[in-house]
Amino acid sequence: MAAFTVIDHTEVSSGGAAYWEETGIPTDGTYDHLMIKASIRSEVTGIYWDIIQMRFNGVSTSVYSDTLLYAQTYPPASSRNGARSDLTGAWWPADDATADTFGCLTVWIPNYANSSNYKSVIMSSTGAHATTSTDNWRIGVSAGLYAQTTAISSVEIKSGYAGNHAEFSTFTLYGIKGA
Amino acid sequence: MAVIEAIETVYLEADAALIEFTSIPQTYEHLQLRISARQAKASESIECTIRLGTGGGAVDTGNNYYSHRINGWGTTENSGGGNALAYWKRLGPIVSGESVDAAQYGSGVIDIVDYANTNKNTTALAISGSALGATYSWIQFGSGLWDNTGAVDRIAIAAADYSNTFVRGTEATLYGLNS
Repeated sequence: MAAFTVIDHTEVSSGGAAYWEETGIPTDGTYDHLMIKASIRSEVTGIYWDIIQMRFNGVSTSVYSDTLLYAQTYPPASSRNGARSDLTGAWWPADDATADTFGCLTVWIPNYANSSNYKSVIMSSTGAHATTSTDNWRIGVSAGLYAQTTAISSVEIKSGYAGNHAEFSTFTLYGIKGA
Repeated sequence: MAVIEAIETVYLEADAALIEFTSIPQTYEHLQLRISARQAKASESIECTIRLGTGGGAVDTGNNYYSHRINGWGTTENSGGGNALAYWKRLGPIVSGESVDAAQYGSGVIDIVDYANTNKNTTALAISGSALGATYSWIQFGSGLWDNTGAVDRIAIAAADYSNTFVRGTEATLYGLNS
């Protein structure tokens, strides 16, 4: 059996999209882990980079926390967010960034279907922009926690500024099976 | 069809200044480079440089490449970037140089997302490290932006600043990720 399977691939069409969501993710042992690879740009104006709002199973209570390592100038910085209603540890270009530039996002969700443990999430992302100006770009990695033992059967990625994902943004969800 | 397919591996049987992948198929969603390399320069850790090409021609040598990074060398952290350069400098993996044990090769993984989409500039995300145990060991996370919407069909990986040499045993594999 192949280790990697494509569960969903979505490309945002003309007009943009308020969110990307995949529901009905198998939790019966079909896969052991999930991975998302996305190429995203935000339509939010007046900013250079947008911030992720990621939720599982439609849960919006204070069960999320994350620790971030990022840079948007020198020196790099780290921070921790506890008891949040979403995960916030990824960034991508917004309307003020270099035209036609989309950020890279990788999300890794190990052991997502177990019903005994909380779920951990590792993200890496790039708010790319052709600039040396402080704060007009942001890149980083994050470690997140979804403090629920329920298996993850749906995932949603939205803009933290309530804007749309731009046309041509793509999201691919992979299921990964162990031996 | 496998989700991840090896497109080509280059293994250097002799020292060489350049590793090049040409005629890259346009049939994948993303590309991933995995590199294990060492350079013939009196340094503990040293970056690789990367150029891209489109339209069947040579790689772009103009100042159209931008990169940002977070890195640590030894006990010192750093971040920055964003200057227009003739290649991706701080995105390319940091690998080992002649000043560390001859058996040491640095390594890196570079994701080049949605590389065939002509509505987007090409962007990339990378992580690399080298010279473990040395005074100036490196860990680096970086982003890259090539200000060109052409579909990528050629990748050139050069030793630092196009003025150095990879040593025998250096290896790079280009993978394609389907969606």
